[in-house]
Amino acid sequence: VTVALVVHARGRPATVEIRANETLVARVAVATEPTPVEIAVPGAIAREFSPLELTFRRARRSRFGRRGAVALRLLRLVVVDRAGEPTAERAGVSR
Amino acid sequence: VIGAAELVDNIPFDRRLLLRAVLLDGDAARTAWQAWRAMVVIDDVDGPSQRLLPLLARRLSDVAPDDPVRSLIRGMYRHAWVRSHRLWSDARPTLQTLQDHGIGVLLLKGAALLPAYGGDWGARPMYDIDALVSPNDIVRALDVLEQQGWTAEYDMTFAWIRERALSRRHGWGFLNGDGRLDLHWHALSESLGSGADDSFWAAATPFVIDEFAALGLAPADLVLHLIVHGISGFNAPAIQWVSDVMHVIRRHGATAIADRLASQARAHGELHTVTVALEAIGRILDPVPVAPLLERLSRERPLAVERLRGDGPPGHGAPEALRQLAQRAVGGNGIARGMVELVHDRLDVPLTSSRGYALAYAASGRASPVARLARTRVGEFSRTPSPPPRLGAGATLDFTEPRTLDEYGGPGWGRPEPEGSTTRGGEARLVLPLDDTLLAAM
Repeated sequence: VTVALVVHARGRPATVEIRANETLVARVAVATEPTPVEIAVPGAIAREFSPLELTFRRARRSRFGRRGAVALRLLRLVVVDRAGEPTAERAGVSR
Repeated sequence: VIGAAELVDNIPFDRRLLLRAVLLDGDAARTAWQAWRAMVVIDDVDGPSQRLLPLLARRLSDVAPDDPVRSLIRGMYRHAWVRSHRLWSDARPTLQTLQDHGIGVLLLKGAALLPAYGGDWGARPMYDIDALVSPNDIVRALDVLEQQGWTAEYDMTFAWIRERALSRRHGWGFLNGDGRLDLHWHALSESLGSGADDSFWAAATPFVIDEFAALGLAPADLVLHLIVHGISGFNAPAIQWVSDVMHVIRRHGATAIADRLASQARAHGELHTVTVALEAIGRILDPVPVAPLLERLSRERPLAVERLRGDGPPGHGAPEALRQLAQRAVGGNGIARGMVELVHDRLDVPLTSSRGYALAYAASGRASPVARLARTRVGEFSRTPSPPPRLGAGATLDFTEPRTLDEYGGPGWGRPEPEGSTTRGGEARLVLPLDDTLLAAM
């Protein structure tokens, strides 16, 4: 399953880690403007636990650095059957 | 608040003149009035100043005997009188129902100040009715408001208030037609500990308003509340608080309230704020009425949490985490209890399915294996304020809508806004129950 999101960073651009059911599935750069993000969640991970839990965390700047607050705004989320389907475009996701 | 001089300087000179005109007597009031009238265009008077003008309605023959604006001020007084009565009429049935359910109601600000203003409904304009209920009763109180048709301000939901706002805020506004009710579960925005209001309730004094048996803060607590509310956040640099504080001091006498004001200001970490505010009143009006209070306050030493917190705004004073700890440690709550409550709030523990795993997860530095273990043992790691409907292919969730965040937002979310829902803290979770057909297709 693919989840298409529109997010923006509060304050300054950030790199955000996204976990699906506790497994890291994406590390994305988020701008302070609305940023389309598409996350492909492998079927095995999506089925491992139900409901699917998506977790947002700021990426560490260095190996031992602090993460700090995630500081995002989430505008929209669209559940897409698989990447490339038209619904992703409706969520404002460009590829 | 840095110091009294800065606080005074932040109040525009014309507003200081108006304060002198409405709160002093004789020549001092008349001189200030004439200087104020020479400075302002009466049709362009700003909101904070307009709030003070009704106070003059009963003293016009003394302060402004020949001024043509007398009829305008009388009109403002009548408008304030009608509006205050209407606000009270709209809120009273709900306040009565709260009492009928055994929920104590303590009035704050406008309605609570009626005795200090001599019972004059027109002298001090109200814009809403402020009521405090105990944190132990707030969930039941919210049920009553919801049943009676009140809606939360800014389109927030009751679920959002119950699950996300109660541990982080001190109150929220509610609307019902023309009715405006601010329901508080903590009296002070900077005292959010579970026991922070115990001393306010213990010393609350009964009074009757329009045949409604209400409770009000003890006079010293009322002064503390008026000052902290009046000079913090977006209320500054309003001037209503100066008038309110002076009316309470005049009614009860500075000497009578000095001891309790000093001890309560210290307990709530507001010694500096209260001292600065009273010094400012002394500079603007007259140092004599506030002198006994300042002398008594000068003999108190601030709590460690007040020193730790500092007085700067977020980002300029103490680190945010220390400020949040201070919010929960003051008011007699204590640092240890405040720390526990802060951890619960930061982790959004009520929105996790297992408190034990939530704490273990945090202690592990949010290690995925701990969350994975929790999910294996207890199923869901997170819960949401409202049950989330299942999602099929093409489901679109609009996170500018408060209800969407209620249904799909787990721990780590703040407030839904037109720009989107904001995350809060180090991690935010979404709970997405996927439709069986979608899962089967994978």
